[in-house]
Amino acid sequence: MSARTFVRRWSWRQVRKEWRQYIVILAMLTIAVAAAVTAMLTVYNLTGGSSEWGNGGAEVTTEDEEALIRVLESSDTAYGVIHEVEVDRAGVVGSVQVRATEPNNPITDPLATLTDGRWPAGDDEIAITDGVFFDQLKIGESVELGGRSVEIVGEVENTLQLSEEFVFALDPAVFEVQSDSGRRFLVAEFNEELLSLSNIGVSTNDGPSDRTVFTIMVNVVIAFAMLEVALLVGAGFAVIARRRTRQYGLLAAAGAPPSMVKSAAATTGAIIGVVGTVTGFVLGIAIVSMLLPAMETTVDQRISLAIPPLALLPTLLLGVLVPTLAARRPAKALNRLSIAALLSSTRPRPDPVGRLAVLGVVLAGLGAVMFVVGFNNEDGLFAVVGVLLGPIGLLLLAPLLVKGMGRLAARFPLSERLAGRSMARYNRRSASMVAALGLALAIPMGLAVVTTSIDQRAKARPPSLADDQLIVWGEDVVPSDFVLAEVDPIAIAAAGETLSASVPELDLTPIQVVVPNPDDSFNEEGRTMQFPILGGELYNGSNECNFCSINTIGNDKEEWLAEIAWVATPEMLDALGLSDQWDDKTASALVRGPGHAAIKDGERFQVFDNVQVATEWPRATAIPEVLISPSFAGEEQPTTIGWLAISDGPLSDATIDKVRRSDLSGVKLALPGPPASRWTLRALGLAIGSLVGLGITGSVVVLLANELARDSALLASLGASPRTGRRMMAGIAGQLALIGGLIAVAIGYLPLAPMMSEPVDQFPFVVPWGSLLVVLVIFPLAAAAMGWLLSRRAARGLSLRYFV
Amino acid sequence: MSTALSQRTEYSQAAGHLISLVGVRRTYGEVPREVVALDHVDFQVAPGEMVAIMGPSGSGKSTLLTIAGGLESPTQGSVHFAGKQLEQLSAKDLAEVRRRHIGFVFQGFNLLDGLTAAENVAAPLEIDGVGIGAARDEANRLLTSVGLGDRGDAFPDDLSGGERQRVAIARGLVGERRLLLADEPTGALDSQTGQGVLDLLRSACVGGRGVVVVTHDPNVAAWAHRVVTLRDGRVESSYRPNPTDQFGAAYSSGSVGAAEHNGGVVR
Ligand SMILES: Nc1ncnc2c1ncn2[C@@H]1O[C@H](COP(=O)(O)OP(=O)(O)OP(=O)(O)O)[C@@H](O)[C@H]1O
Ligand SMILES: [Mg+2]
Repeated sequence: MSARTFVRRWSWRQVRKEWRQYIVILAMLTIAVAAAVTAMLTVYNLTGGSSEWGNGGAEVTTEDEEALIRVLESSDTAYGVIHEVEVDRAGVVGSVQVRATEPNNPITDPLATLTDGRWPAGDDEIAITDGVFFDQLKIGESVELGGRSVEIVGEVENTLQLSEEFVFALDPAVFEVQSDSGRRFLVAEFNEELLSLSNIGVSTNDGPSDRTVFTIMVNVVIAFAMLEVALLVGAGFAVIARRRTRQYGLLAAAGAPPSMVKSAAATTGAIIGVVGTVTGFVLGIAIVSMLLPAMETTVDQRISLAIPPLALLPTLLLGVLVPTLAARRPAKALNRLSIAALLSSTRPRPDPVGRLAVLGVVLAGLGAVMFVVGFNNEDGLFAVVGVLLGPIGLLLLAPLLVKGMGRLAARFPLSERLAGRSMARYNRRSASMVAALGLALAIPMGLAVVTTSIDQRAKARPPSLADDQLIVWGEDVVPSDFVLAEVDPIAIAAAGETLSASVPELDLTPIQVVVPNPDDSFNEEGRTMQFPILGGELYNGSNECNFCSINTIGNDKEEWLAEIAWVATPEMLDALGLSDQWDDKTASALVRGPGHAAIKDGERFQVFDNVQVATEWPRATAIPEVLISPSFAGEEQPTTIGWLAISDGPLSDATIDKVRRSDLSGVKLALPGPPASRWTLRALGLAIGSLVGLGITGSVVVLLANELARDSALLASLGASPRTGRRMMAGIAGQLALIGGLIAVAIGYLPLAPMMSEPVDQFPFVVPWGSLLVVLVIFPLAAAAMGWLLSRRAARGLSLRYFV
Repeated sequence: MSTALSQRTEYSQAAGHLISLVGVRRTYGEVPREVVALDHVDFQVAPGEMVAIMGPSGSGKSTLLTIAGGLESPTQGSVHFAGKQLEQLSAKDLAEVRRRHIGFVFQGFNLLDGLTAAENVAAPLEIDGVGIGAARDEANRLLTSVGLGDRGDAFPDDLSGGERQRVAIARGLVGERRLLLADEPTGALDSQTGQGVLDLLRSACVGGRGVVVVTHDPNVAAWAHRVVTLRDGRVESSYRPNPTDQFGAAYSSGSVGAAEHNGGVVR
């Protein structure tokens, strides 16, 4: 038998003896690769096309559509045509969007993809999105639309904007059309031949190229994450090496060349790397597929699970390389020791946890600062580096925390004290376990902190409409391209009458606006405008600005342009319960909240201190946060642009239905949106994180079982109950999990730093109690329970081999 | 045989033995490869008696000690301790016997690395529900008695081999235990340190405590009341090196019970 074979066999025997250790390393590697793959796939699949362009790279506008089509047909550029019109539906408020594209056209397909039934075959057939008729109509039914009766034969969706509701028809022109936005021509990419046409406009979409940037950024992140894992895996191998020091010594004493030992160690590492990487890869794909439905709802897009081999390559390479090098390193280090030193396997000197912690704090601080600065200055690289340094720094605190726990343990009952001390004794190993646990929980914790902050802010800026309010708008008031000339006062007045007759339970208040003359908007210095800024966006639960007051934020020049001002009529004040709060003589603007802030050149400042009255408004409302007094509106004549309807309690489905079925034309309906909370996302994240954490805990328990058996046998010889051993294991698992949880919480708060420091739309500091409870209490308890369950009950007969 | 056995049991209990093993057999493994570690062993310790167990390696000394201490159960035969038959006790009650009445000192791995010297000594008390403060005070008192009063806060890693054994002895004595079992406590020590440890054990006999020491020390005769030698799992001989001491007198008169009335103290 050659020396090499001998060393190989010896090395394989070590793996078999320490297989539990290797499983811990494997688990950490697998999780890291899975996380990296998850991140990469998520980003890759999220940075897809835009909801208006489909797969098109450019939109061409022209006067002469026929000529354009000729050119497009003759070139080999893929293109798609999309035609959209608005039509009325008989007996129902509001209009319906009708869209026509060529079915299965490669460019427009994402904008109208068939999900059920079939494509319309004639002008009497349509396909619909599931919500366009308020979930009331299904395939096979007929509907009166734009003066025709049409049959629903299929279901479609805009895969790039799932919430978009429309009707798909072959030719929209067959309907009585309310408004027609014309045909849009989308081409795969801009084509030189198009320039031959006169009078042509081209706008290009740079969406797809974003993907490359994102991919690079994610790979940078992954590279750092894998580096972090390298530390952990390296620590794991170091632990094994330490326990096997004598074996190394014996091997060396028997004459095995150091280089062979090194290469055998590297081979072991490589095998672990391949297994861990493949498992992690599969796990990552599984996680992404599991998260897909939640992600699709969040981003409002269908996500196709594309697996980009090139983008994933760095992760996979690192996954193999990292453990290979990590396994080789301690073997190399041991080779430097004398054989005698190896054989005596003296107690290692304690690791310098203090210095490491200082380094950690410095790194974490630096990371946080870089993150904030990079984020606020939109410096991607800076922010990315910050994002990486922060967590790495905090992970470096693990050894200190473990040591601290060992100190604290002096006050614990016997079993728990032994648990804490045993952790502290093998500090490096414990720290790597803690780091692995912290890492597993950090991502969901970060998610919890960020989403809670977003939810909190959304709550501070209540939804546009309270649950007892709805608004009937004159056509085209929303969104912000409000053109007063297009408002039809007669239609609005008629709508108000119809509504109060058909739905008497609603209290209607006219919504009035004035449009200031832009020339009057500046004083001598050209700064302050006459009308107050109609500040503050109003958010619905999902953070979209539904009824933003118009033009609230100044452009980069020093001017503030108010295109429209909302008038606080006595009726409006009554409806909002504000009539007693406003003395029209002393104030020109009523502002929600304790002080309204507007943004000017990135700073915050009070607007119109001398003229505003800040007040607590009673509830969410679609009216902007600033109203002006009728007298302040001056000579401009207020125009009614719609109705605010308030019911006695929360709007019932029956009432909403009645409103929808009221015969109103030329108006639009705005309803309170469903309150969006991200708690499902949080719960899912925490569940996954905890499961991964419990997996690590399980490996840790298995890993430590043999070591603890000695202590628990000795305790039993002192008359401790056989449960003491289990309590010790539970104590270790619970304490490791608790420290991991603490680090996870610290890491979880990092992303909030830039969000809080951002001058625009500052996010509040939050304490996500539920998630904290999970991470700091429930998870450690679950880990302790796991330790308890997995450690076998000490046998009645105590094994002699520990004592003799 | 069973009548004879029960009679002997009666006798040994009546005689006030601290512990008595009757007809103990212990085997390891299944039949073809069965190892008989102990066979037909009768063994008693009287209060205040110091017994040395000797014998070649593998003769069953450690096995005898662990069975006597309730760490291992006999395959056959019975163990009586203070009127109770150990094999019949539940795991919980057995643990209580070990905790309250029997102390152990092993050759090597004796102390919990995660506990300081004082905590190691206090451990049985803490397990028994004594408050940490009181347990530590008691531990410190005992550590002082073994000459380690100032080393209470040291962890085992920082103690020498002899110091560790002394800590183990202190722990074996804590809580007024009636029986101290030591398995080659001096095996890893130089002769001078070993002598100090033996002196400690000998002084532990005062107050009626029984002490059993497994040893290879040829100078046993100088300090033991009785020497029991084992060979191949059987008692080879049992003799009193000093016929003139209290136990020797009782031995020669043929009644251990008498010795108890003469000098042994029963609590
Ligand atoms: N757990 C066990 N499994 C199998 N055999 C055992 C076990 N414990 C002890 N033995 C066997 O029982 C016999 C007696 O062992 P024991 O340890 O009592 O000997 P000893 O007299 O203490 O020896 P030494 O002086 O070497 O310590 C030996 O043959 C040993 O191999
Ligand atoms: Mg032995």
